[in-house]
Amino acid sequence: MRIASSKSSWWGAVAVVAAVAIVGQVQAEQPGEPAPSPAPAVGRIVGTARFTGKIEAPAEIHAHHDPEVCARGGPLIDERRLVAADGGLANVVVVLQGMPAAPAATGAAQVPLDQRACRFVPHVQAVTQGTPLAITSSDPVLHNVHAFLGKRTAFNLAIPVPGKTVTRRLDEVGILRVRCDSGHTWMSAYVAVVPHRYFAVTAADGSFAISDVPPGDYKLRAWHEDLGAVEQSVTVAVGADASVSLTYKEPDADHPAPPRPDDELRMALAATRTAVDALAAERRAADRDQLAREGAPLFQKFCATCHGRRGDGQGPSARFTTTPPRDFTRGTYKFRMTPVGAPPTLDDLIRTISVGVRGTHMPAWKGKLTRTQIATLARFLTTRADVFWTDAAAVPPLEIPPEPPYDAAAVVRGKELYTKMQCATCHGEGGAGDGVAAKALKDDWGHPIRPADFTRGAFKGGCCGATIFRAISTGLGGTPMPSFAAAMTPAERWDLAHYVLSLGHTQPALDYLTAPAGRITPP
Amino acid sequence: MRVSILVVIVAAVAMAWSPAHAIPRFAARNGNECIQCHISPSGGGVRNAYGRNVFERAWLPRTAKAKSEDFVVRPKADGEAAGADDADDDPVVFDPEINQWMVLGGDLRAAYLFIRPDKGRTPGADPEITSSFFMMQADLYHAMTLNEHVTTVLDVGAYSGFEAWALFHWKREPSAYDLMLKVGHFMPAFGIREVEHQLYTREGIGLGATDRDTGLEATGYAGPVTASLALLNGTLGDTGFDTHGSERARFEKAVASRISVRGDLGWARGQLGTSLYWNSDTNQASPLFGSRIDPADAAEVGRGVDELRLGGFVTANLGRFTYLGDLVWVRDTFTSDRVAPRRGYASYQELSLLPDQGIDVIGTFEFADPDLELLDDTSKRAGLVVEYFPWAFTELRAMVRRSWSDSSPTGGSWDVVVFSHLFM
Repeated sequence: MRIASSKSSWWGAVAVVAAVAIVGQVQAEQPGEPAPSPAPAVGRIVGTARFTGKIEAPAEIHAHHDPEVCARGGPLIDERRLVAADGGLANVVVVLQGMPAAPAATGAAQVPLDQRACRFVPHVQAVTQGTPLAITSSDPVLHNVHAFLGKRTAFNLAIPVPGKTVTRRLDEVGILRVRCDSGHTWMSAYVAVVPHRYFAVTAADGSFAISDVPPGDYKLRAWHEDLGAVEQSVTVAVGADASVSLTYKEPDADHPAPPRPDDELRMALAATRTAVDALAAERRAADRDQLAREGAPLFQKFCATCHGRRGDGQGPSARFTTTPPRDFTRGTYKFRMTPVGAPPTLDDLIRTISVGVRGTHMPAWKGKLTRTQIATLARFLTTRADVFWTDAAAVPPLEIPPEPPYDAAAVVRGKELYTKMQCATCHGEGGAGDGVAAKALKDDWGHPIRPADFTRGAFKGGCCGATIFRAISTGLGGTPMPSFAAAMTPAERWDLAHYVLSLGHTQPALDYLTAPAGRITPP
Repeated sequence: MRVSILVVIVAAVAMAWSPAHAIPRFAARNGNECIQCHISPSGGGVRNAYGRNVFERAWLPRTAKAKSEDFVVRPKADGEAAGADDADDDPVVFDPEINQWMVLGGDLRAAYLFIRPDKGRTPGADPEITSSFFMMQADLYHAMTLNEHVTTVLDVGAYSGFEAWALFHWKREPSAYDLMLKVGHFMPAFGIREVEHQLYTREGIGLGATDRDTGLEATGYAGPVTASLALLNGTLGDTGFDTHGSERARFEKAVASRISVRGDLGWARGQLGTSLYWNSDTNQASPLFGSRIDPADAAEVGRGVDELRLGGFVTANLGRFTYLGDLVWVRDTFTSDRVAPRRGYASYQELSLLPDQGIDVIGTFEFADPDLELLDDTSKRAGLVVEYFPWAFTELRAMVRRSWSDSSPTGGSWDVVVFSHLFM
């Protein structure tokens, strides 16, 4: 359940105001004759981004994983700084500041993001908020598109089959940083999601143009993944080209490395808030403060010793935990019934607090705290991260269909899917968590992370097929485990879950004796 | 009365008064240090927020184990409230915190003891069987957090004296490294601070429940390494001034040090450490040598003993098995020429199995040799213990132990101890 701060009566008032405004506009347009369409009173911004430092050829990248496939497009190169011979700098995102928000309409054209010869294509692009991103793969190997918005996972989608396209609507403004966790550690891409259409990305020669700009004085902000942000003023006149030259210098001690895309940049890209937006945000903030006050005493008493007083996972006991305590300030959670990238429901939080996380220091609080206390703690957790308090529409939770028979036929079908979906890339052929990409995996915090060992028959999220179905469907937030919801039907996901279940309990006695008891509770 | 008889009696009394302190097995099993659950860096006594609110409440008891059905994911029916699937009654949530700065705690142990010696104390006499209920421990703890850097602890025991100390933290916020300074009256850090204080490696070498000392102890940690160094009066069990009148002409204090390093491979974890204790001028020999010193030399021993203890310890955890091993070498040299120097060692081995959460089955073996010859005067003890933690803050414990002693006139004994332990 997404936390909604507004009351129905308040939304009603907003609707009435909006309706009156629309009716008023319609009435204003009615009396007159059809107006002659005037010539568009706009101008254009043209310019070039240049790099004035030492120009070097991009480094070649050694593809240590899937080298046959990754060499198909010729040598892989480091695309972080592509500079033409004359200094023209490619892949700079240029955005006009202060323009009113105008998200893309429903049904807007899709923009592609392909994975081709182990590269994201294009490497950098910009789109209007609300634009669908058509993610696909041309490679016959497992790729996943793990997109971060600031430090938070926005989505993480598996593309295990070439030609398969998964569409993701980009509703959150900011710069998405995209990586592939499936052993292709060099793959990266950026997608700038802008709240209006006044933006451009520089071409290979560093040139760009933004058309149909209303006349006026503007700030132009440019962002480059390696060289950071620069800003420049520009005046646009009707029917004229305003010329701009954006200059990037070599970073040095006096000009430290620019910050990576983060929330600050995200806010810089955001459009000016309307009064209604501001009022809604104010009300949300008040509700959030209230929940924080109610839950803080419980949190400090029972949770802060590991998760820290601020909920950032930096409690005094954190240094003894083999799995770092969750940093709640990112709003990233493993076990959710919500789609990848969406915050968990309140029920998800309550469930995890109640049953704990197996194999970690997170205990099961059911029976130790009252239901009211657990619910209060769950609400408190929502106050730690902004993602629970955005005005984005709530997303429906995952529906788990009834479990089909767990029989030999299901296991055989699941095994075929295990191969087809290339689960072995991380989890290994036998499911022991020893796939070729396993050693390079890192979580969202940069900590090394190991894929689940299915042969143990014990899972952090709990026992039974439903929790495995859930993990396959939603992915595990904060980890490289992507969502396979778009890649498989629900029936296929159940088959795969049954196959994963069948990999466990191969040596019950040995498993029992060597289970890391005390920190894990085998099912 | 021979000294060996005294040893037996002391051992019996020690068993009766063996206050609980840290349980190193828990730390070893989870790859932690004592300070994970206790305020004291060397363990024992009042627990910290993790110990009392998380470990004791949610990890230790049998009832804390989540049931498989709790994990089952199912969507909520329309109108069903969050958390409404829990049909159990809400638990009592005991809270020992007076407020966020003050906390109370305690340990309460009541036991039944049965000892059957192999022989009587004199030739031809019947063995004297002990069968008694008794109080092992009744300690009340109080801790205060004065600010982000200072915590004070008071531990008042009805049977085992008291501890009173302040702990200064250098770091205000949790960090990968920290330095702490403990000042007051406390048990210095040495080896594995095992719960059974009558062990050969504890009371057997002079680290009994009442053997606290006054001084200061600095403890630092950096990553997996923890080290402590204590400077103490060396007047164990005595809180008075450390004066010897005009006889004292040199630096006469006790020094205790302990260094350990932890390692965790994921599937196994362990700790390796070493300890040192040097008391430059005590007035009693180590209990380890009690049977080897002629009672007639008691006055000569009282003129001064230079005692050195060197220890090594290891802990390891693999799955449900946890091993603790402690080995201490002791050397006493005497001021009086009439008493020859003594060297000996004591060891403790423990292997435990956790069949399921809240149940521990523990096998122990102790060996002590006051002359390093391994041939005579040795003492051996083997025990089997079952610990059961049915609910939060509650332990039931049963132990059967067999001891063999070359020097005791009773030869050895069978011991049975059953007790209840409440801790908070």
